[in-house]
Amino acid sequence: MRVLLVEDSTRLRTYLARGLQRAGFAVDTAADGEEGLYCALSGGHDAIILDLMLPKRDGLSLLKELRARDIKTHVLILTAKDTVEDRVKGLDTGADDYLVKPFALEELLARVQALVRRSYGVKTSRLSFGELEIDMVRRMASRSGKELSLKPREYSLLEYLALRAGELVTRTEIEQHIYDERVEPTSNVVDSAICSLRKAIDTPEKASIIHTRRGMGYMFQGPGS
Amino acid sequence: MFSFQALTQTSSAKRNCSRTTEYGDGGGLEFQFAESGLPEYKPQGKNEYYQVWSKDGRTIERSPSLGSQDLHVAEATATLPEFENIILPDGRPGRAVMLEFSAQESDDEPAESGHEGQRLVLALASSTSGLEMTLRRVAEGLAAAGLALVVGMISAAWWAVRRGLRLLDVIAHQASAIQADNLSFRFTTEGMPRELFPISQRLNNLLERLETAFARERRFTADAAHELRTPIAELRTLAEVGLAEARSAHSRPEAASYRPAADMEEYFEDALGIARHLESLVTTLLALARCEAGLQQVNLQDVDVADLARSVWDSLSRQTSRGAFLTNLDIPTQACIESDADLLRNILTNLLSNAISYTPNGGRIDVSVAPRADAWAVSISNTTHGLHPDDVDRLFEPFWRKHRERSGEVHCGVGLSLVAAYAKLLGIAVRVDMPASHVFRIELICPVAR
Repeated sequence: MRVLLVEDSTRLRTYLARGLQRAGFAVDTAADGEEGLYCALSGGHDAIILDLMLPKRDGLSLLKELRARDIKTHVLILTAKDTVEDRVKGLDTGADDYLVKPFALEELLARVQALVRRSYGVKTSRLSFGELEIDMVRRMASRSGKELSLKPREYSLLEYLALRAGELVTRTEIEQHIYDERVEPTSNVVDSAICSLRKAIDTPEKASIIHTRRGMGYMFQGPGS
Repeated sequence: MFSFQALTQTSSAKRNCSRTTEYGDGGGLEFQFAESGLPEYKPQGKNEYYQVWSKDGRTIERSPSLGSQDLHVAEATATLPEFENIILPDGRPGRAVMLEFSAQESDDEPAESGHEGQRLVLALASSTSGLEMTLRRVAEGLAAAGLALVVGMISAAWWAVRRGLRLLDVIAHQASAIQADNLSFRFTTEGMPRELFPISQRLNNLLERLETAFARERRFTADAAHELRTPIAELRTLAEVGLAEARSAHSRPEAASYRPAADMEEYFEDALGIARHLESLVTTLLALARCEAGLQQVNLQDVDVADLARSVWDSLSRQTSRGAFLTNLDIPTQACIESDADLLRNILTNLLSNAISYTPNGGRIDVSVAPRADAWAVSISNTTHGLHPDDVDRLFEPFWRKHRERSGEVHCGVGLSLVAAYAKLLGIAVRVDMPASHVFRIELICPVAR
């Protein structure tokens, strides 16, 4: 899942990005409001973490602009402003969640993940597809109760496809949501990732849970559908 | 025959009427009266009386109104007319005048001998009851009027005071709407009596000043909270991420975190930087709070500003890693003033380190200590980019920053506020200006004697 972090404190931005990456997110960062708006408008984010006191353009103004342009990405406001008035104002302007600094990283991660799930219309933190179970909190998958060994990026890919189960997911979308760095258009990093994921989660006898649509993308389907 | 012409006060017309009275020894006195008979002397009239006596007290003539009674008058004294208040025979109050006169020879009759020049006493009396009643009525009227006036005045005064106080009620009623969190309230002059305009205007001015002061306090508190929270958040996140990485490096070395262990050093360096920043911020905030509470002590002593400036500059320029600017120090050997060495050192450290931090590469810093009348002027100028002359006054606002960017390291936005607070305690005037478009200058006028 890809998140955008807009925060002007260099240290906080660096460490928070690191923490998010450790949690499996692909992270874009921006250090001021203008840069943040530009990034947010380019899209492809599952959630935006937004500081309020930003140079060049403050957070609320950025949010207002996003909502005015009908960008529906979930936004979590992360700020030192803690009065009820501030929270209400933030939420009224269009934020989906509000967290006050200083904060526990664990809480931030949980909230961001909740926002991401919400954006995919999923309520629980566990996804089941027959024998395949995906635990989004512990970031692991299991088949018939047996944990599957997945690399972090493989898990991220699985989670993304599972959240969009039944939908066609293009290669570009996968690139956007899983990878930090812009993927070269000619590279087949996605294909090889799909390949190794299939190896990890598929049972040899049955058809792959991940279907390929030639030329278009991939679709995650539960067995039997 | 003597004739006596009696003239009343009310009638000036003289008419002829006479009465004759026996008097004396065979002779007589003739009294001539006006024709109408002088009705007031008649018994029914009962308003005027007269009586004539001889010198020896014998009554010679009475007015009909007297009847058979006498006028109770005192003895006639000299020849001059004498006035007195008497009681009339019927008990009413009256006023009498007594005259002494001599009976005159009549023009008509030949004179009888022996009676010319008879000294007679005439008393004329008039009832004053009418007058007294009038007077009483006037007195009563006056009393009533007086009473009415007093009552009226009291009422008017009471009403005026009440009205005046009611005007204040208007103000008081409006004022009850003011709350500490609602200082945007202003007294309206609509429907208010003109007398209250000045006071409501003054109150509005007061509210304006209060609102500004409160807003400034609120802003300061919010900014302080933000400035304190951010480094704490940085520290926390840094620690949490570092801890997670350290743990995973231990437990799952194959699923290695994205950073090698060598970066642990980076974590601690950053942690130290944050701690120093917080320390500086907290120290400055506490110092500012102390100043504002009036608790900051000032120990006056002889301080050599020149020496102090030199020593602060030396220690700062040693510490700083930056050296890409020109410096020019124009400091005399000695510049003694009466001041507090610690506070002054604090001021100079603040200003000089600001200059060092904010001067861009290739810029220059000028520090000078110059004599003035009864003072020494410490002047610090540095090249600056992006500072506008209008910003210059705002520099002393706590936490104000151009573009609201955070410099992060050692500086925080309250440094200059503290400089201003200390300068005030030391009696030092602080002047800021931009003598040229890219030059910022701050000048401290330090009086020789505090």
